[in-house]
Amino acid sequence: MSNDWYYASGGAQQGPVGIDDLKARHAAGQIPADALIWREGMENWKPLNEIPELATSPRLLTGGNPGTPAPAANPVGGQIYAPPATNPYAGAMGGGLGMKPPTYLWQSIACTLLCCLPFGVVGIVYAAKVDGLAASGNMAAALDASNKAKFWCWMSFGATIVIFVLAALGGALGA
Amino acid sequence: MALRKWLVIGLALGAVAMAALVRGNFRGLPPCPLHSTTGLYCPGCGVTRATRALMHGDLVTALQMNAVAIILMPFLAIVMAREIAAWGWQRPEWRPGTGGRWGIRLGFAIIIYGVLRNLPGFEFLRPGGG
Repeated sequence: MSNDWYYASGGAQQGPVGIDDLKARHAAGQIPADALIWREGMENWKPLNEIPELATSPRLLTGGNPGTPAPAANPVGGQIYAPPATNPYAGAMGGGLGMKPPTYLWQSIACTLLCCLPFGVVGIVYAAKVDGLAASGNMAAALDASNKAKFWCWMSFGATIVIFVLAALGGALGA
Repeated sequence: MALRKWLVIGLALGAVAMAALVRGNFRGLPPCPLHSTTGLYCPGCGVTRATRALMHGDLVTALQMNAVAIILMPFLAIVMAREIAAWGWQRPEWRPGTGGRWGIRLGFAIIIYGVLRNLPGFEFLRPGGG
């Protein structure tokens, strides 16, 4: 579940998305083979067709021509797509592209009200922190709070499903 | 890979089918493990009974069981439908806004509601009015 891929589309940075999302959007024609892609750990933005993990895409197998000159690593002159920093959100903030991690606030509230376990409350507490941390520029902490809120939502949901299944099994065995 | 989309559609159809199956002879969900072990009332306590009352057209009983959940239900249904559709169809622009400061206040209000339900003098907040 690593949603850590970014891509450039229409002059703006998009993401983070999972690698499967990225492949799906590429297969659907939403992301061309020469779109710039970046993930944490990469030194710079690279065209999609130069990234080994994405090279399994069918379009690349048919159309991939090693002789084609690769597009410049950053055709817009390094201004629109801020150079990736150690923090994936730092570039987005500097470029004013407005990318914030999701808060998971609604999911936490729904879990708190619908799942009879206190995990949703933990989710609300973390969800409440996300926007404030993002606004103060501490994107790593905002992302961390976002991930924790998401984790506790799934804990709440998962525990409730387990209880229902156990109760259903118990009912079936008892009857 | 439109797998997510079909997962969402499949689960939605499954929920409708299950609702049709149990219709008329709903025996309730298993009792809340938190309440049966600790006796505490969480913010969601009474939601099942409230929903059941609502399905029988009994709004008064529904509000007595969990007024906060019943009042928030239309709102939560809309935002969660948007979140789930955005996830399933991979359209981030469909996601609802975060609600900003008011969203956070709502979240903490629900936590406070859960605390108050357990305090003496606030028995009227408990399912069935205490």
